[in-house]
Amino acid sequence: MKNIKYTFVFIAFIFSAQSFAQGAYEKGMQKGLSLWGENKTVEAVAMFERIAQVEKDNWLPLYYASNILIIQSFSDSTTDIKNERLKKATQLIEKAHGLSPDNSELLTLEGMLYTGYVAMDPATYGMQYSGKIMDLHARAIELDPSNPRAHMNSIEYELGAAQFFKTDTAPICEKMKSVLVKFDEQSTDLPFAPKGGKERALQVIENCGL
Amino acid sequence: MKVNFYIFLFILQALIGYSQTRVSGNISDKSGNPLIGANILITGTYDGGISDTNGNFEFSSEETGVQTLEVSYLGFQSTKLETDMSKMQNLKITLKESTQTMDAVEISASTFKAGDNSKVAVLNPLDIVTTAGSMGDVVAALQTLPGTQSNAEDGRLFVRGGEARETAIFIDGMKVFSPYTRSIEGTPSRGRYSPFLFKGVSFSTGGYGVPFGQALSGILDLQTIDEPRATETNISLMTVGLGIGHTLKGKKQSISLSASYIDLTPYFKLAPSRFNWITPYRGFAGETVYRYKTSETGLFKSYLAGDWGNIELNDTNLNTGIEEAIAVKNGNIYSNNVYRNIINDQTSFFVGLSIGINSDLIEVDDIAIRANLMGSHIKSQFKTILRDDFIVNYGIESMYQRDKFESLLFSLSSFIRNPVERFNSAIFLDGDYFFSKNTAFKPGLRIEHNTLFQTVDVLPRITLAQKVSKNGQISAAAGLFSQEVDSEFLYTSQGLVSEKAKQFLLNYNIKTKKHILRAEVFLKDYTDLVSFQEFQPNVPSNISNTGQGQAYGLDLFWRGNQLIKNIDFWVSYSFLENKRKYQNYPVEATPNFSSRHNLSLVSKTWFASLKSQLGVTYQYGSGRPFENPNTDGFLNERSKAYQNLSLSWAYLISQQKILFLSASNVTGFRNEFGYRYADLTNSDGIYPGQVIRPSEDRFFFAGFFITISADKQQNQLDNL
Repeated sequence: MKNIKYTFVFIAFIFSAQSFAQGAYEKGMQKGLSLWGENKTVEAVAMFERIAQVEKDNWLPLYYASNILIIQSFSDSTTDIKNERLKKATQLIEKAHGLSPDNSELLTLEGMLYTGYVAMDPATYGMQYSGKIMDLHARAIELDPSNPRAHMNSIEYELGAAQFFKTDTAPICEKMKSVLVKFDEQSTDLPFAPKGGKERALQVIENCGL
Repeated sequence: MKVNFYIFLFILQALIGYSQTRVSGNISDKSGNPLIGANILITGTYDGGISDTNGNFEFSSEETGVQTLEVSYLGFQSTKLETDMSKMQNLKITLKESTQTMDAVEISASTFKAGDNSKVAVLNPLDIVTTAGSMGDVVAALQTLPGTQSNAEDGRLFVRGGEARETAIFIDGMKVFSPYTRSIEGTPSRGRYSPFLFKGVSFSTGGYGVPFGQALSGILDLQTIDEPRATETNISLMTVGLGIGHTLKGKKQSISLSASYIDLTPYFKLAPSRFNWITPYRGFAGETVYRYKTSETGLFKSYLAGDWGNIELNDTNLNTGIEEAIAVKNGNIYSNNVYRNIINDQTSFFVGLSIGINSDLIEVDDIAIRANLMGSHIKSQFKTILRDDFIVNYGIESMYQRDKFESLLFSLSSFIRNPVERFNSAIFLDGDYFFSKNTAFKPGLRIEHNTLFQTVDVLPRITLAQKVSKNGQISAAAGLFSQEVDSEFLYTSQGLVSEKAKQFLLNYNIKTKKHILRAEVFLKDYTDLVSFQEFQPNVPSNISNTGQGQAYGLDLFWRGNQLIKNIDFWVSYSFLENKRKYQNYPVEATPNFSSRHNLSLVSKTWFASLKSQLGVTYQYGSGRPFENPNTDGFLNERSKAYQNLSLSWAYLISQQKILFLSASNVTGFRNEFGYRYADLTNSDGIYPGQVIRPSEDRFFFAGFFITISADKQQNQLDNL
């Protein structure tokens, strides 16, 4: 009887500790996302980095931290800062790949990372990375054909090339429209799984004049 | 009651868990400036915060006891502090700037890089292919950089008054034994390898590091692509030949196969040439590249290439006045295999093996000479990051070379050894030490042993670098370099040693978004150069290491990026004073391959409306010495200055098709490269001479390049 009591208390103890931890993770992720929503990017990255060093098997905090860093790099003023941010994002993505290999979302993000490098210095990185970017998009789509972000980034890259070569962009814009459905259809059991990007797709469609 | 006790413990635990400790402090850099947005956290917990505009931070934590506080900030070295939670208040934390950031001082004086490291790169990978006049030759494009000169009748790299053989060429750190195609006087050699194989180029005109040996003047290290872009087929249709390539790319491995056939016969049927060609150049080349990603960090690359080519022409022998048929036939196989990986977070390594086999057959009428070379290079190199500010490189290598000379008509009785076989083995160690982000030095040592000479050479090298402004830095380097004497002397001589050069250089470098400016002065002191006497023409005797020489000069480089919209350009100027007393020189003189002034202007203009890039390259080299045996003195006559204006036009028809047109020496300067003279006087007591000219003044090229890939987006722009 005594033993049962011990066990009961022990289980309760563990359970309480675990649910507490679970709560902290959820609270942390929630906090990170809302900081990002408030455009407090530095705070948001710091929050996700803190979560990542506790949640050692979870790729999501790394995903968000590097995602924010890459987006920030597009608007940085100097190459030095851009480069530092992208370097850090690269490290985080590499770590995330280790935790979750063949992850469509991470490959899509990596495509965005190299797009950041090309945007930073097209002459140096354009030749080196444009093939790689397209390849990453293709692999991301292959792994998860329902991933709207992989489709969106791939189409947006194609659009850039078409604009450069002044070829007809209308069919590419049409393709982007079909991605909107994919955004609406996405469903996942994984809490905090990436689901954004629809606004961006709508914006691209708008710029196409459709 | 017992249960109650446990419940009490449980509540207590929860209470302890929720008791809060305030953690606070200030983060600044070494000079006390606050760092805004630094990330502060308690290791292994969600607790943390970031520093505000004054560098202050504050957060609460439920942790107790001894914990680790971690502080990180972009561009600074992360720091950790282990202490009791109760002491984590009003902390003063100073972060040290990372020496690995973009704006840190860079220790690589005299090196020109093209590649993805924009910190030191002065060229981007595209520049090699798009430089007008380079005709897709890596080496020709590099001849627009300071410290080099364009010896158009030869084509090879001449660095700062050194012979062409003094610049060693490597692929992924492994030796290339016969890097140039075989040619005959008046037609330039080319680099053997396609520029599309490489993602980066590192070209050093002096003061290079200890991992590189057997080079007195310069090194060129070409870095191959790690991962091909995609599965695709490439087709090239050119006025000089055809090429086809296919790449298969999988998730972890990829294989590329390509083949090309070059034949200049149709071109010279249409275009005028000074030479009496039988076969201008005809050759076949094939290559395969296999790449395998062994893990996230491990990569194995294997490259195998072979090419066969021949040139035949009729030429009048100055000594006999008789026209004779000259044929040069060459076969070459080269294999390069490297594997690199990391051992842990601090240490990475690579191991490599390269093998080269080369055979030259030279036929003059019915006299044939065959020279065979077999070489292999094995190397293992490690890099250990001991601290953020202290990185060491160390390794071991061994190079085997075998030269064999065959001739049925020449007497080889003076040969004391044939083949010539030897090993050059070395160990090396250097360290990059950063005193701060602004000051660094790199001492290094290379110890080399040669089995033929039975000598051990100790070669110390040092580089210092100091940042003098936000974008400017000064570097100084000094070192000892050695190289085996040319293999032709090894057949007949005993007791030779390696040739040596002491190099000193001082470099100023400024790089902003729109400009790159470099200025460098150098001094090179040669000792132990091969010296010999010629009692009969072209038969060296009394070969010894008593020659010496000195070269000094100034190199300038200025590159402007988008100073004028859509125009990119660079200007190189080199001044060189070069004197030697070596080989058969009776007195000290400037060698015939060396010109005092060299200038290159390169521009590239992008016309968006035409989807085209126009390339313009102008090169000037002051007249070079030549020896006229009909006059007094030695090597004291000068040839005409060399000039060349080249144009190229690349037109992107679509993403899959590109049209490329180029013309060298469009204005038709009548270049000459000195004179050659008969070995003996004629009946009038005069050595008959003949001016050396290129086979043609102008050269035109047109090529149409197609990429067929599953992915229609594949961009020919990449091949521009």
